Amino acid sequence: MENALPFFVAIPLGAAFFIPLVSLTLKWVPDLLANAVMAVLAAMAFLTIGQAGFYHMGGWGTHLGIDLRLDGLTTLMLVTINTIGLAMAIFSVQYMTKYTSKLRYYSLFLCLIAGLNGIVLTGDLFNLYIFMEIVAISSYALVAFGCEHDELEAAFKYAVLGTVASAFILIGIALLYAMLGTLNMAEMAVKLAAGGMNMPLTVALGLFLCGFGLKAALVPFHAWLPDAHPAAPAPVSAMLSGVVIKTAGIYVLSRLIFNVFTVQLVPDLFSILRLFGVVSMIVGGILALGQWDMKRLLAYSSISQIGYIVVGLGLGTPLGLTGALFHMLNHSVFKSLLFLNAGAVEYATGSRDLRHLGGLSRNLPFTANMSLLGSMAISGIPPFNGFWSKLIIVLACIESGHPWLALAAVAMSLVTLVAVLKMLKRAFYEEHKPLTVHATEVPVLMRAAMLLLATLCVVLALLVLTGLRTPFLIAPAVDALSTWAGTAPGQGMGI
Amino acid sequence: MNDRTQHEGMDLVAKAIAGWLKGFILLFGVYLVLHSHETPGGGFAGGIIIACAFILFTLAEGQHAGMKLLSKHAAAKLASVGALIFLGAAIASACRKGALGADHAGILLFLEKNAMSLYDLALALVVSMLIYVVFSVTSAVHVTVKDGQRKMFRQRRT
Repeated sequence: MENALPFFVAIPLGAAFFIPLVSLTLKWVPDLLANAVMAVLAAMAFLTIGQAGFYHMGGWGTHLGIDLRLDGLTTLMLVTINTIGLAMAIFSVQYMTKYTSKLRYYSLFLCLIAGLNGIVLTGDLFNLYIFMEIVAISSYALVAFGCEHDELEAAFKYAVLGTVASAFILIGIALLYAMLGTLNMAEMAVKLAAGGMNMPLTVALGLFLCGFGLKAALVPFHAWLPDAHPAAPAPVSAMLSGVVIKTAGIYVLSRLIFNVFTVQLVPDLFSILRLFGVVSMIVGGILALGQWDMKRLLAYSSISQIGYIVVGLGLGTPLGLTGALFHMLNHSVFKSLLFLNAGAVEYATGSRDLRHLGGLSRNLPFTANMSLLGSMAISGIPPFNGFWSKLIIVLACIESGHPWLALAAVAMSLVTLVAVLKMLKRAFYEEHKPLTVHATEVPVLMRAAMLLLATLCVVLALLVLTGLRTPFLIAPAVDALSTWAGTAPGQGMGI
Repeated sequence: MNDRTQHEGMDLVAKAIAGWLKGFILLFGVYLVLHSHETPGGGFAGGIIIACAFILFTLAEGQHAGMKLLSKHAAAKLASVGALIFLGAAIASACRKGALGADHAGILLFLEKNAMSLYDLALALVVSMLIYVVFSVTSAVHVTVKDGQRKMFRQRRT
């Protein structure tokens, strides 16, 4: 399996550059090629389950060259990215016909996938930065894809704040390289464990917290997200909210905190993370209540759900990590589903303003049912997957002696329920409005993509059957975070 | 629109000088690419200079003449070819030596005796064509304000 690792990046990149070559004459190529590529990548991602290993680029050893690294966490992220990506590619076939240029869309989309796969695979901090820029630049262009007033403004805001984040991260990497003399993350961890912390390293850690906090849209840094995510075409919104903020933000942050800067070095780090998390959870949830734009409501709720994940990470216990990673997987599934629903509503009616919608459950029964399922999953109603991951996070809060965090998590779950019920009621269940009277159900491939994600919402709930503390797919990822590069798993990590 | 197309570009002096210069600039860019492996700069600098030749011509003669010489789509295709050469070289060396990019001497530098590597050729292609595409896209699209809403417009190709 190790030899297949670079192809997670090479295949989508190759396809992204192949599409412009032929697609002006052969209009069917982008659809077919992008879907085929995503299907192959998703299959490859599932084949990595249970595997581990290295790939040395160019045959150079770890000290000289660049490593690609496969472990439990990488597998979890690869499965998430490529499965959600497959659903988005299926959805895009018919949804993107209302935009002008499928060719450019699929090229950028595949670049995005290549960058995301690269971020989770690489073991080298500077390469991680490069892949992150690939992701960032393709998402700026994808946010601006509609070329209207809102899209351009959102993309500009996103580009400015994203570049600020990248600058923070680059300075942080430069400081680390100056102090440790290596860019390989595993070697960094060994050197840090031997040498301990000093002032420049602490500054670097602070820069990383701000930079990746911006990428993940934690609350003091969240201003770009509610503009950027709604402005993009629906599949891209789903990718951004479902996968990009988690890969470029949460994944890298947890790799750095748990694997590179191990916990013994910075004991206060976890209380900072918990603070970020609980503030994001509360602020995002409450701001979501007041929104009238369907996608904007979902974008604010993403901030709130990212808060849950960061609280789970900030607990630092194995159970907390399990909850955080499980919630990350679940959130990418149901948030993508909800964004696709919003896209379907927009496709059918031309609007996503809740004040102008209503009664769509009679015109779009399939979309309405999918929305109901996604909403129940996100607000933690059993038996859907969201319930189990939130339950694990709440249990972990109580177990590690933070009853107030547990209370906040439960309360914000209710607030999320109120927000999504508002969306459901206004869009699907009230009286018809002029805009919605003649709406018809969306085409079959769009429904297929929604069905795929809805099925996942139910199937992922079954993961807890393999053990609440050691769910399938999640437990290896938690192991990877606690024992990487030979560093000991943190015992009672700073709590 | 037609009135503008006929009088597009700069005045006669600029057009005449740009017409003379573009060949020399292009030649210098190609020279840099051909000697890229043994001179400082190499493929990237050569690519930039090649792009400059096209950009100079477009600035002097106007957009429609520039598009006629090398359209955005053709340039984007050439850039894609360049990127695919990179990928092809990496995969070919994986087939020969077992790891992506491992076959340094065999594939990447197969033209080493001519002082140019495949890598530099691909780099020059990508850089020159992408710079030209960025130039022509940003110069062909303008944002206007109408009823307080900004909108992007594209000039029509004639």
